[in-house]
Amino acid sequence: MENNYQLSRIHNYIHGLMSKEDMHALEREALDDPFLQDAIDGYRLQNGVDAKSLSLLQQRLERRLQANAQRKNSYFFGWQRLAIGLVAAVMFITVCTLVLMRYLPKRGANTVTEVELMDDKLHSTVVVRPLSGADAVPNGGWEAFSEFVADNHNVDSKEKRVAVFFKVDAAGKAYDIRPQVSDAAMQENVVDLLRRGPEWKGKEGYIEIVFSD
Amino acid sequence: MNEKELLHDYRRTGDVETLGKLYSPYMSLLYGVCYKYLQDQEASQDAVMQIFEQLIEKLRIHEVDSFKSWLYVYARNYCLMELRKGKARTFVDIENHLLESEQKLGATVGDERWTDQDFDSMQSCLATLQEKQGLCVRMFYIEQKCYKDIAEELKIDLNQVKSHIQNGKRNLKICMESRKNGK
Repeated sequence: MENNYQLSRIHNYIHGLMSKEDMHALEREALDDPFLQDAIDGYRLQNGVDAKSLSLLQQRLERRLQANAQRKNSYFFGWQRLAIGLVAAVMFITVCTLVLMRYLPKRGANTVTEVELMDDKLHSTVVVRPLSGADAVPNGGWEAFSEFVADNHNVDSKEKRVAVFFKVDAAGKAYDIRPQVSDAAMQENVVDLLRRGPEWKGKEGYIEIVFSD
Repeated sequence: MNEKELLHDYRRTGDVETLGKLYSPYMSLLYGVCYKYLQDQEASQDAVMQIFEQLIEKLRIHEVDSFKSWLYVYARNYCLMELRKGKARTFVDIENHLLESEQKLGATVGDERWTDQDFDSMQSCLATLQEKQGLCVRMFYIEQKCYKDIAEELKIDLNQVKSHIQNGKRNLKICMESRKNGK
């Protein structure tokens, strides 16, 4: 290397190991090259060339370059890494879309059923129960009668509880219906419900209808 | 790849590896230069590494024509700044350093054909130089003697020989240029 050649020349020059012609040549070179001149002056001050510290310096530079190469490597996004990343992203999005497409229709169906259930519950918010002192029982049971009332009533009064007296004829039909309510519209409504309603067993009825609307 | 290509390549890519290739041949010379100013082994080694760190930035910004002389000036300025920063100041002979920089500038010119007239004017200019300067220049350039021999013959210091030659060369150049322009 040119560098080492120059260094050994400086070494020989400082220690007087050179011929006079070579010394002159180097001096002449140095006159036109202040870089070389300063380097010679420096090494003369140091009393010679210290090869060991120079090789240490060279090693320091190499370590510095290696550190840089490693850093570059860890931050380096090559086309391979980018491609893998892209494929992963596309696959992730595809899977997400498929899952959503499967899940969404189910959700739709669920809401429909829920609406129906809500409807059912709304209608079955009417409860009819017998009060003591009477023996009439509706054909089909109390629950069925409650449902019938819930489906057919059009009461929107604020009265929530209505007690009703009535009598049952031989055919099982309710008559002489007396709702214990002051509101005339409400009275008519309840009478109508019982007339249209199912037949009864027994002779006399005393029931309470609860609208929890 | 030669130096120019490496420089261009580094400016384009910023690859520190390339800069390393460019820099490592000059490290031993740089170490010598740093030692001349800092006069401390550790400090000089650190300076060489610090200069490298700074080049990483600088060489991406500046377009450098001659890496060697640019590097030399940069390194020298770095060392002088270091000295200014530190408490312990070393005083360097300004005369010497001034001359060396001028020589560098002059070195780029030249390479012109010499006429007989030029030789004549050189002879007369040589005669106008101070005695010691003239002697040193004559002995160095014409008799091709080395500093050591000149120093022994004239019984003066080696460094004095050097500065006599440098000063003589400069004065000679000024003298010859003024004669050329005068005509």
